[in-house]
Parts: sequence; C-alpha cells; structure tokens
Amino acid sequence: MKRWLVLLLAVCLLCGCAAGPQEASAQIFSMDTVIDITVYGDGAQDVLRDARAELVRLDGALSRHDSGSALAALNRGAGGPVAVEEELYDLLYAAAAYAADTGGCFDISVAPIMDAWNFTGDTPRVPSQAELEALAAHVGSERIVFDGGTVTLPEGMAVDLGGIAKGYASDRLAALFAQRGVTSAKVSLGGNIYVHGTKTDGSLWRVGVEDPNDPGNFLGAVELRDRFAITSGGYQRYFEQDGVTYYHIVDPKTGNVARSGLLSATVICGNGAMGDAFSTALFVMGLDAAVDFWRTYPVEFDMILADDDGHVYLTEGLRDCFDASIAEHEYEYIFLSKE
Amino acid sequence: MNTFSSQKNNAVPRLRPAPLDAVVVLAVLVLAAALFAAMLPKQSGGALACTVSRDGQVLDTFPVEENSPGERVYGAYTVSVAQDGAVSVTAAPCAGQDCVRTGAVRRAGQNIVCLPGRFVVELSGTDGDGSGVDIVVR
Ligand SMILES: [Zn+2]
Repeated sequence: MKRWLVLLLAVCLLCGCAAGPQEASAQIFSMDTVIDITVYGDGAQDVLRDARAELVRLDGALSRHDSGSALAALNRGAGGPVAVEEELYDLLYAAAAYAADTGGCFDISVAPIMDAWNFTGDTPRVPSQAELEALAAHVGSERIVFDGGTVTLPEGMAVDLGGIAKGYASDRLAALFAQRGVTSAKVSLGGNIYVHGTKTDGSLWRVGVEDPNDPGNFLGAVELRDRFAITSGGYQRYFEQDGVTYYHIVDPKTGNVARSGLLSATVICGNGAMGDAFSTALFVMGLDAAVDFWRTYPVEFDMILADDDGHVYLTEGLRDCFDASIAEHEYEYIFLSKE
Repeated sequence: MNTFSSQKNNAVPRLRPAPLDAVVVLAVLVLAAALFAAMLPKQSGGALACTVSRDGQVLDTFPVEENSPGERVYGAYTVSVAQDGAVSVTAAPCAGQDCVRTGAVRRAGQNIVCLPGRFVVELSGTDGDGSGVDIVVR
C-alpha cells in the first residue's frame, strides 16, 4: 500500500514542478510610454492589478500636460507659493537635490526649453540661439523655494518630471512588490528596467544593455537582482534638419542638444528616481566629468558609458556580472576604479 | 525468545526490496525523465515569434523566419518582414512616424512602439545566438 502512496506523491510533485509558478503580465500605456510588467508567484494577478492602479495614479499626479494634475497646478502658480502634497513635494525636492548634485546637468526646470525643441511632438524644430538663451535664463532648480508643504517656482519657470517620474514609478512598484512578498518580477517602463528578486529558478535576471550604435544588438548583458537599470541615449529619439542630427537630450545650462561624445549612459543602482536623473546627467556631462562624479558621489551606483569611438566604460562593481560575449560588434571594454 | 527481541522484530520493517518497489522506482524515474524532456527549452535554432498588439490586446502572433519576406496589415499599420528576418513597421497613421523611423528589429526582447496609436510589435522566443536576455535596458 505504502509504495503506491509514494508513487502518487512523486507524480503530484513532478506535476507541480512542470506546471511552474503562477505568472501574470500586462502591457500598460501610461506615463507617456509603454510599460511591461511580469509578476511571478502566488497572488501575481492581484499584485499586477495594484501595480496598474499605482501607475495610473502616478500618471495623473505627475503629468505636466494633464491640466488637472498637481504638477500642472504648480506650474500655473509659478511666482507664488503653491501647497503641494507630500509625495510630489518630496519628489520635487529630490529632483532639485539631484540638480544641485550634478551641477545642473539634470534639471526638471528645463521644461520650457524642451517645449521649444518639441522633440516629442509632430513638428520638432531647432530654436534660435537667442530664443534658447532667453529660455535658459529661467532654468535653475536651485531657485525653487521649498517651505515645508509649499513650493514656490520663480516667475517664468516650469518644471517637468519626465526625467525622473518613470524612475520614481519603478521605485513605487519595487516597494509594492516588497510589501506583498513578491520574490520574482520584472518591469520595463519604456526601457527603464527594474528586476525584483530572482528568476523563479533562483538565477539572476539577465538584463541586455542595448547597443546605441545598433539598437538591434547589445553592448552586453548584466546579471542583476533587486536593481534598477536606466539608460539615456540620444539615439532613442532625434530628428534631422539641414543635414544635422539633433538628439533629444538637452544640456539644461545652455539649452542646446548635449554633444558630450557619449552615445549612451546607463546607470545601475538601488534607487529608480536617482538612476533616472543620473543617466541623463552623466550623458550631458560626458566621460571625464561622469567618471569624476561617480568617484566622488557618496551614494554607490554603477554605470556603463559608451562613447562615439568604440569604447565602453564600466564601473568596477560590474566586473563580475557583465557579459560582453553577446555583443555583435567589437568594443574596447574598460573598467573604471575609484582611484 | 525474550519479549524485548520479539518487540524489536515487529517494529523494524523488512528492508529487503520487493519486486513491486522496483516497479514504483522505475515508474517515478521514467515520469521524471519525460517531464524533464518536456520542460527543456525547445531547440528550434533561433526561432523568433512576433507579437502584434494594440492597447495591450494581442492582434496577431506569427513566427519570423528568414527567406519568407512579407507584409501584414493591421488597419493603418503595415508590419514588414524582410528577407533576412528583420521586422519593421513600414506604414503607420501617426503624425510623428516614430515607429516607422525606429527601423528594423531582429532579436528577442526588441520591440517597436507607436505610442500615439498604442500599437506594439514585439519579438520573443529563443534567439539564434543564445544571448538569452530576460529584459532590455534602452
Ligand atoms: Zn507611430
């Protein structure tokens, strides 16, 4: 009798194994991008539903172009103090701090300049230098006044959280997964990545880093868990006029398209909002300033910088988890150390 | 025979395997092997599948093969497969035409997105060179 029970038990175990863990995934259009979320494990469907609701909420709160959003109200009230709820207050405060940390290479008050270029619109154009200079005079997060619950934008300033909102949203999803005991999930917010826990077989997530010279290919792959990976690269959006290519990343200090010699800057770290802000900042800084910044910044992060001369620079923390073997093209890989 | 040893004889089960035990072991092993084989990734030599969706709803899924070029039309969108298996959006109703300018995709994990039209073309499956990435940062 017992031996048949053993057989029955073995069959059940094997079948459970073959059926695999629960999985739920969704593709969501929100925050001006396409978001893919996959959650594994018990209750995956419920977690996914809550993740979707959170993204819709954030989109409503943080969009500048939605006239009903708290951010739009703040911009309309520029010149005087505007009462702002805690979440938006904290995010604006963090963004202003990142602007200060990066010497203004990332700045949420670059919004009017981005509007002038109209990269995301149907008719992008090259603004005149006079126009850019006039607009650049209104840029500078250091002039935003934070006063415990109210925020004052100087007259003429407008802020846009597009450079940090997706990263912040990934932070929120990471917190949701942790709170709900999820052990395996992956998220792509238009190419901004967060990988939670491990794959269901316990192995690390393999994150491909797109090749800016050939978006069909990779610079390599990084094996990660519980990490955010965010790339800024001009190659993602650009337009051409009179034979000149204009990439969509602007130096907030001048209003001109950033031409730093980098083709892409990828940040890998434990904070999505920071990674989002820094990937833009590093791209604007260029190689030397980016390396200096990485060496001196008090919070640990890793980065991958691809220049326009066939070099890929990686920070030392990636030495053991970066796999260049999947790169189709030949690059010189250079590891950076803190000294 | 004392009481102690007789109790001991009753408590210890017979350890010599019976023929039926062997049958059970064999059955479990065969089943495990069969399931293991079924769960192995399909060695399809770099087979790619293309999924076309709108607003998160899948409209179409088709295998992408070399040497079978063609066009598929979804409303105002045209998705083209080239001779070499590269997939691109060659016609779209959106004003910006970002999706058309994205160009061709060739590997699992790559996609072409038309945000205004909420139209997505996505490649998945075992890719030919075994890069085996789970997700792409771009
Ligand atoms: Zn389009």
